[in-house]
Amino acid sequence: MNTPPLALDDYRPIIGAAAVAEIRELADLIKGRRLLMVNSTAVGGGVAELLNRLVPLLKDLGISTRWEVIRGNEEFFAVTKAIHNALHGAPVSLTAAMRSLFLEVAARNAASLDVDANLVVIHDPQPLPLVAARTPGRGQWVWRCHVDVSHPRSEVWEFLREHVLRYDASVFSAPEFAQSLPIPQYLIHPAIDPLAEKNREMTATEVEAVLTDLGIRDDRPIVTQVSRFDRLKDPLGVIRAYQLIRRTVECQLVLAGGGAADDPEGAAVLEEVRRAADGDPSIHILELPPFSDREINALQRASAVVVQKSIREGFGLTVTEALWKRRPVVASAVGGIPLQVLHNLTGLLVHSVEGAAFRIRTLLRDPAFARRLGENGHEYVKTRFLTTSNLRRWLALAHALQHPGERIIRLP
Amino acid sequence: MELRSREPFVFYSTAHIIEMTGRSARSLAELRAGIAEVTGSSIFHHTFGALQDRFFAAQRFTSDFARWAVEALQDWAVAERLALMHPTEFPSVRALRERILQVIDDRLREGDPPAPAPPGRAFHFRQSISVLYPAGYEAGTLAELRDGIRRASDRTLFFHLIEARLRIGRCTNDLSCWLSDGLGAPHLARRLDRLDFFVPSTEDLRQQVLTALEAAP
Repeated sequence: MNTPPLALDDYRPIIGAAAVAEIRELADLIKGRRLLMVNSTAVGGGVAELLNRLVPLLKDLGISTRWEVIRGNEEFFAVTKAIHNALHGAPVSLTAAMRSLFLEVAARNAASLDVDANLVVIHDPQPLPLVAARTPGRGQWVWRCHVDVSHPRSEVWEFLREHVLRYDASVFSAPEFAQSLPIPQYLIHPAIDPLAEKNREMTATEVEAVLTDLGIRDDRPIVTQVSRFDRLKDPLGVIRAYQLIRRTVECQLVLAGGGAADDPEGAAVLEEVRRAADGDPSIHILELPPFSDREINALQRASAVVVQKSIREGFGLTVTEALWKRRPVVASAVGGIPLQVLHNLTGLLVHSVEGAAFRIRTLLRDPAFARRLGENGHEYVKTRFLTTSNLRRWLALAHALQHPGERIIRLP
Repeated sequence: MELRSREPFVFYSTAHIIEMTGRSARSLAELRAGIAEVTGSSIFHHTFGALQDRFFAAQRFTSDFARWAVEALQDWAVAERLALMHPTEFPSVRALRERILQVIDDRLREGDPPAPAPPGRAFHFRQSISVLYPAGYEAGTLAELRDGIRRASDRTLFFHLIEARLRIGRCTNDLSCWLSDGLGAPHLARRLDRLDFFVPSTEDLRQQVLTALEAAP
């Protein structure tokens, strides 16, 4: 695990002294308010990763911030997993018993947690019903939905919606991921931490050492996709794209993903990927254990092209990571990817296997163009998709919630 | 002796949070209906909001309406007309909105409107909530103003040159107005009206402002 940075000042070399000073000024104007973040896990997963950064930074800014994690048994988390899948459109029903358990666990947590704060932010569906514990007239409650709920199972969404409506506001990652709601809906993009192990600067020697450890020992240009072995990430499509160009373009392919040991579907996909690679020694299929952040960082930095050939995607933080590392990216125009990859400016968007092959070849053949895209991508992420941008947006939201209905808020 | 304004020019910084309005459009006619009814904050966000971080302002349509007209409707002609609007042409968001509506109405009157956007490519109207706060420095003279411009962040420059003028109302935090009314230098204010905001970087814009303020009367 990484040690979270202690201070916003740690980001000064990255975003500049002026930007740090502006964030401090903005935070000074809400000092005295108490914030509470609630989610369902302290480690693992994007939300915990985000809170592990955001909470220390808010504290560093002098804002009293607590982070609580709800407790539940295995049965409860089986229910929340079913809810998660249903929100992604899977044909899942919630029985009466499942609904009761979901609400009971929330009630138990509400009784044991101190939810008194000026601003309470509930992350994702697991702790959603905690809102029942709010004291009328005290504090504002915001539901931060990290999940794409645009095409849910309607009965499951209707069940959750009742609780969502008790919040003062909601926050989504992209307009395309939201549902129509009568409460205010704000937009905060996910973000990556430039100081985290997965994104920090690495020396060429360190990168080289990691590649050697991973068995990548020749110096042909590397084309990489980092993603779990999941059909929605289309690893077979990436192999086909590579096979379309390998006769004429010298390169090697790396498919790196999380372990599939405890995921039956992942194991099946991994097997299909191995079959499709057909023993080609230039295709490296890497099953990385959890917390392989250093390896992922090195692989991305060593790549001549980073690919994200997803069929469906959330925001696509692996794309953000690659852009931050100045890598030229070829990615499908799905989910949150087009918000990051501006075609021909910060990367190249594709719509097919052939498109991916064509664009990978373009970038391998034209390193100057690839470098320009990489530089642009880095600058774009610096302004929009770093932890510090995220922090600024949360501070702006905290101010906005204190001035409901105002679109221009003038602070003293 | 250098002229000193009675009222100092206070530099502001801004933070924005984007709010989704829940309104969307799938055709040019629906886009037109939305533009006629959404808030001024929404119009500003979708037109000149992207000029704040200046990314690719010289290469890419910064207007969301223009980009959507190309990407979802494949109507380049209306997109190009929507894209070629400059912040200093308009005294207010209301005037900007009227111009946009006029461009779309002209296109719709030509007949043969573009086909609606494919599924999943609707235009989602958003609006920007701006939080304004003092940046911690101010200017009473032209020299102090130049110093402030040199240290101003992207956000501060954007606010004083574009946002204040269009969203807050003329002569509130507007650099041109302070030069005219506060410092009695309308010729410098007129120069700012000729700035090109569609330049590649904040430094390009900053240099233009400094040049305009440093040139001889």
